[in-house]
Parts: sequence; structure tokens; C-alpha cells
Amino acid sequence: MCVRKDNCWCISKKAQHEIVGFVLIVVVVVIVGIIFLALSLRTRGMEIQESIEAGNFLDAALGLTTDCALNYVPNYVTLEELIRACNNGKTCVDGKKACEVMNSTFLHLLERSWKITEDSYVKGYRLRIYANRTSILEDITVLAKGNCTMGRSLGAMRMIPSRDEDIVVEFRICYSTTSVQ
Amino acid sequence: MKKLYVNYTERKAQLKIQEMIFMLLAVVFFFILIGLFMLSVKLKQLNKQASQLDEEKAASMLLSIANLPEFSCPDKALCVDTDKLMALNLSIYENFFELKKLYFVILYPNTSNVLCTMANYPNCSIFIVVDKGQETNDKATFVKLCRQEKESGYYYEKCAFGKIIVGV
Repeated sequence: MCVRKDNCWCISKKAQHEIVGFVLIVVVVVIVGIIFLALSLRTRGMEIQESIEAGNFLDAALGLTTDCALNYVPNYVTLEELIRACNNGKTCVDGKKACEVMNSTFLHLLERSWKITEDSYVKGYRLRIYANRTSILEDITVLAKGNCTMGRSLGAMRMIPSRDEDIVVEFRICYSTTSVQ
Repeated sequence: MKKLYVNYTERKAQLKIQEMIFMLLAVVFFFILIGLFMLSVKLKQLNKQASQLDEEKAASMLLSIANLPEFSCPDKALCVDTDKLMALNLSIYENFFELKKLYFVILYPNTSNVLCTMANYPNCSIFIVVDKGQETNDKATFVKLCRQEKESGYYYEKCAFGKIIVGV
């Protein structure tokens, strides 16, 4: 209801200003809320979590007695010692290279422990052994199978002390996105 | 004129109050929606974490069984002495553990899938401690299975890679 003509003009303009202000507040709040949501829900690529199962696999594997004797028979070495021997370029008493025996042993262990099929919950695995030489990482071997680019990972790491460097055994199991197990 | 002016002021105040109420309602409603959405996402993450914790708990239980003095290697963790398993009278352990199934299985290097007896040990790969023949929910983890071996007149410890399987 208008009292005076110019007062009507002021009232209608003022109402529009109020509405615009209200809409601006709502828009700002929505934008802030969306940014906050996006930040809190963001996944940092493949998250790798420490797993007892993967750790037990490495512990049991590293303690396995291999077919390789380094000095004399029957001084057969464990897989841990074989990794060290491979890093130092040693050869077994039967003439096979330590690295060759190490790779084939790990391949057998991985094949028998983790069945990867289309329906399995384990979609892939990756075993990487590298030497940490004064902050330069040099791969000794990398064994991988399946798809480890998507989904969730559980893994474990073990350090093997060697002469001037540390050898690291890193194992990662990749699961499907639907369930961990 | 004065009455008109007073009505106009009252009306304006009412409109302002209404405007504020609507704005507050809208903001509260918006935050409630956001909160519900966040809650559902967090609950989903919690479920995943709970399931993973269950698995970790099961693995720990398995390790504690493997580390029992009846089965474990001397001075070694995560190691089962298969010589002890063969020497023990395993039938007395049927009801010792509250388990329906307890197996030790060698995965490498021996994969014969043969049940171990005094006649075929160590050329076998499955050690049954408990098997009540019931349906079970199996949990397993990796262990070393070690024994004493003699070759060329020397005794040495030979360890295989295997699993402990428990059925509850």
C-alpha cells in the first residue's frame, strides 16, 4: 500500500535488494558446504593400509627354507638370506643364480597363496623388493599380477638389513571395491 | 494518515520477521540435509572399518593358536613345529580348543594334498588337529611349518610355507 508515490518506489526497490541479499547468502553457504564436502570425501588415490594378513604372508615367506645352498650342502638358506644373496649377485652351489631361485620361489608362493579370478575378492597383488642405497632406491625385483589400479589395498613392508644398505620387501594386495573380504 | 503510517510500519516489521524466519528455516533445512548425507557416508566407512577390524582380530587369534607351546617352534614366532604335531596325541586336543576345525596345511614346497600320518610323514601336507565334521566359518593366516631334516650327515631346520586354518 502506497502512502506516497516515491515511497512506493523505495519500498519495491528495497524488497528486491533484500531478496537478492538473501539469495546471495544461500548461494555462498551452498558453495562453502560443497567445497567442505568435496574435501572431506576426497580419496587420496590408492590408499594402502597395513594388514596383518599381508604381514604374516611376508614373515612366513621370508622364513621359508629354499633349495639354494650358498656355501655347501645342506646349508640351505632362507628366502630372506636368498634376497640378500641376490642383492650381492651370489650363485647357489648347484650353479643357479640366487636371483633366479628367489624369483621362482616368490612366484610359486604368490600363485599358491592368492587366487585371482574374475569373481575373487582379491583383484591383484604387487611384490616389490628394492635396495635403499643412500636414498637411491634400486629395484631388485617386482612381481605383480591382476589389477591394482582401482579399489582398496592392504599391504605390509619388511626391512632386511644388508651390508651398506637396507633391502625393503613391500607387498600389496588389492581388493575389489565392493568389499574388503 | 498517522494510522496508515503505523499500519505500514507494523506490516514492514512483520515482513522482516517472516523473511528472517524463512531464511533461518532454509539454512537449517540445508544443514540437516548435509548432515544426513555426511552421516550416511561415515556409516558406510565405519562398516568397512568394522569388517577389516574383524579380519585383523581373526588373524591375531590364529597367531595366538600357532604360538601355543604345543605347536610352536622353540624361540621363534609365527612358526609351527610339525615334528611336535606328529609326536602329540592330537585326539586329546579335540575338546581343548573351542573350535570345530583346526588344520595346518603346507602350501610350498610340498603340495601333495595328502593327510599326514606316521606312515607318510614328512611327504604329506595336511595336519588335522581338530575336525568335528560340522559346517564352519573358516579363517586362515600364513605360518611357517618347520621340522628337523637330515642330509649328508647333517641336521638342519627345514621350514615350509603354509597356513593355519581355523573353523568356528
